[in-house]
Amino acid sequence: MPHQTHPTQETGELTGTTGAHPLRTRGPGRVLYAAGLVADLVWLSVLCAAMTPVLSPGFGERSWLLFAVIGVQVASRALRRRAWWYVPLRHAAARPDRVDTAFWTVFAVVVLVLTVVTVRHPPSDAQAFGLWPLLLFSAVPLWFSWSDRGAPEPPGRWGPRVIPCAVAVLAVLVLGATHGRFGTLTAVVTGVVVAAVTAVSQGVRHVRSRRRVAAPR
Amino acid sequence: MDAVAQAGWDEVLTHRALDPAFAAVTDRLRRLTSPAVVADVLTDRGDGLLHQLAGQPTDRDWTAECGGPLGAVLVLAEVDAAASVLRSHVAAARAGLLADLVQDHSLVDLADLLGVTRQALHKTLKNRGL
Repeated sequence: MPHQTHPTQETGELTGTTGAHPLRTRGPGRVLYAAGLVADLVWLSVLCAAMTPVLSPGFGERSWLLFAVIGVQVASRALRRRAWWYVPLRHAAARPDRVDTAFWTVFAVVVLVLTVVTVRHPPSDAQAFGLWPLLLFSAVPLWFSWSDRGAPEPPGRWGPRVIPCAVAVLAVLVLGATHGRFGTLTAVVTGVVVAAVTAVSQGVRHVRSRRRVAAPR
Repeated sequence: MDAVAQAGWDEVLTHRALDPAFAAVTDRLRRLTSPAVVADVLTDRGDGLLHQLAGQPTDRDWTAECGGPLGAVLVLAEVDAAASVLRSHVAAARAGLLADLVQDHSLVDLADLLGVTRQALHKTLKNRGL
């Protein structure tokens, strides 16, 4: 097959070092991808808020909310995958770091706001839920790259995702401990466990990626 | 089944080379017709036999050469099997070429160039990275 000119290179929008991504190419692909990211933020935020007892005391009785969240999650994934229909795949690149950083920073801010609301307005049943769901939600992205990408989007760097989420975890632990929602020992032990699991998961991912590179294609 | 009897069928029924039912198929065909006739029908893509069955004039008595109506059914089944194998090879080759093309063209551009729907193209490519 004769060599084809990279269509997006003709526009001068891409260079060989950046690679192709829907967000880097003008047109419907960029809109679809951005809509998918917004939908991702919406379902993450709604789920966090729904698990916050002050904002959503009857969450357990509203199962439709959970289905709605799952629906938005599926839609966001479909939007992002559809966005790749507008981009040639040879130089497919990960989501730009700036976008990843912005996404996870907004998420961390949402977690932080919900944490502040929760510690300032504790629910009548102090043992119910508390800050644990928020802690879990901010810690899970440290361990899995579940929110990014399906094929053909390659995995991005872990820093832009992990740093904001680690700050969120730390903030939840510190605020919880200073407002008496966690014991100091509990906060410290939880922080150590989260850090250890993060380190292990990153190590596993590193080994997997090295094996992938080493494996013959 | 001896090797001599099998030899002609191996060359004619190449589309059944990996088919575990090969021996059973050749057993049924052998009772009614010969490898040469089946080879002619396959080369002709079954057109002559189909024309005769449709009542149109033909230069050969295909049905008789196939061993009567029962043989004609068996031989037409081989035409169908050969076409099916060809179709799957064509589909695989097409999917491979499309997977190459989508590296350098967006799926949307490619669908426009080929005159197919994006959804149809995506269906072809969805197991190949999209």
